[in-house]
Amino acid sequence: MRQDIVIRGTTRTGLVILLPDDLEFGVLIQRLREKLAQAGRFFQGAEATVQVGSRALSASDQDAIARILDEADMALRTVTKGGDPVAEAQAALKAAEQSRHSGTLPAAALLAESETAMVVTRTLRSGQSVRHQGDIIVLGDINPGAEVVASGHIVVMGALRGVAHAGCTGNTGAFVAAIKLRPTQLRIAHVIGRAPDEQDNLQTVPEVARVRDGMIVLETPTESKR
Amino acid sequence: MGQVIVVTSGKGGVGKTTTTANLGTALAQLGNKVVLLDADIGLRNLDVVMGLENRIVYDLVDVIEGNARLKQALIKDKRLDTLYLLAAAQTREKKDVKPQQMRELTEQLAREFDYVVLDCPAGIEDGFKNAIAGAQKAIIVCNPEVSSVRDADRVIGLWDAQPESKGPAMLIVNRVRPKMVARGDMLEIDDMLEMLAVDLLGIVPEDEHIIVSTNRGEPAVYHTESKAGKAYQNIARRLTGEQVPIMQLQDDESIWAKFKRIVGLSRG
Repeated sequence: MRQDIVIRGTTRTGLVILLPDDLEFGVLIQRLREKLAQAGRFFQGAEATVQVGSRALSASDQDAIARILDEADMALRTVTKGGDPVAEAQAALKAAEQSRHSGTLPAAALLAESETAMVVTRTLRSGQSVRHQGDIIVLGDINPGAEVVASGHIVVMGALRGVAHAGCTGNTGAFVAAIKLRPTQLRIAHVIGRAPDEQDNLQTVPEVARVRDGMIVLETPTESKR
Repeated sequence: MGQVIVVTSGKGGVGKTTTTANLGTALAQLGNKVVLLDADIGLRNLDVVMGLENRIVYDLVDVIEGNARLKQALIKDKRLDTLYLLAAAQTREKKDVKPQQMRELTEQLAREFDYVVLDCPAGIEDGFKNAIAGAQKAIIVCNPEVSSVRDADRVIGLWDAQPESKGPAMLIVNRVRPKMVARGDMLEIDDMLEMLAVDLLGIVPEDEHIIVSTNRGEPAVYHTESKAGKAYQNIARRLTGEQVPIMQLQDDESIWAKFKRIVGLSRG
């Protein structure tokens, strides 16, 4: 996904205009002009802080930005380096939140950016949660009230009694497998399934949950081969 | 150094205070020097259950704030010479005490007593954090019902997640009704243990003696006919390291059934 210019209102410092890193400056200037033109008179009279990310700007570049704002009847407050403070704060908050919930798990492991599998070698109890970009393998149980969220598959070498969300970024091909699959709720991509209210003919074999025809179905590992 | 044990559950009303009172009394009956510490600041109960309410002059917060010396605040039990209570403050709040202060207090007590037993408040907020701060072992009290098991699981998770390395959490299943278990109307203890994955310290049956003894301020362990009292005595012996088999909670009917089976009258 290509990044675009973001204009955000703040209560104390007026508007903040965030310039993405991955655009060439000429194109960026053009984009900014178009964007402000599209807004018409909406931003008229506003003061703006321009954040330029990691980009190094020359004095003439800064002047160019000031001119564009001037054309839109806006005042340039400052030009600062650095990225989106809101996104950064959200990321920091998320990291803090997860390390708080995770108990003894190192926060770094939870937030690992890589697409490799993450291995959790303990039981997750009520209130604990693990999130990972990639697959998650749990050597232990997921108790009711605990949750596991992965962008890839989730494999539990134990009893899954809590909530599992596989393919959380939209991958409907993701699956959830467990030795004992008794989840409170299963989610795969945007599909949500829950255990039937009357628990009958419970399987005692390992099961795999997949999305078939828009619904979550449970199969044995052999049935589940595609 | 004595042991510092916290009695906790997450959920309220499962029998933490009753367990603390009975276990403490039973440990003292075995000849140990025991102090019970009520960490439920603002909602104290342990003193009432022990029948010591009218002897409170100074409380835990007085000691922590330096208004009283520890010796002045310790209340000696009516019946046992080696049993003491440090009452909670009723007019203060949980946040008036900090975990570090509790840690120092329990350390000081552990130097003089064999067992320091803390009665933890319900919940997982400040009061809980204070109560577990200085403890090396945790007794989780749980009733055989799903909400209680869920909260117990949450609390065990929080206990395990402490940065310091501590002893294991141990489970007491309290208020078990043998007839309901026999009918299959209650959670199976094996299922509870499978999910919670902790050691079973004991099973305590539902017992009307508990209500009577609580109202009288006289722990059930004094009543020889009380099954719950007997169960708490067994738990106390297990805590001291003795091997005591888990009490069978079969009632008379099933003993009769067992007898019939032995003599071959029953088809089952």
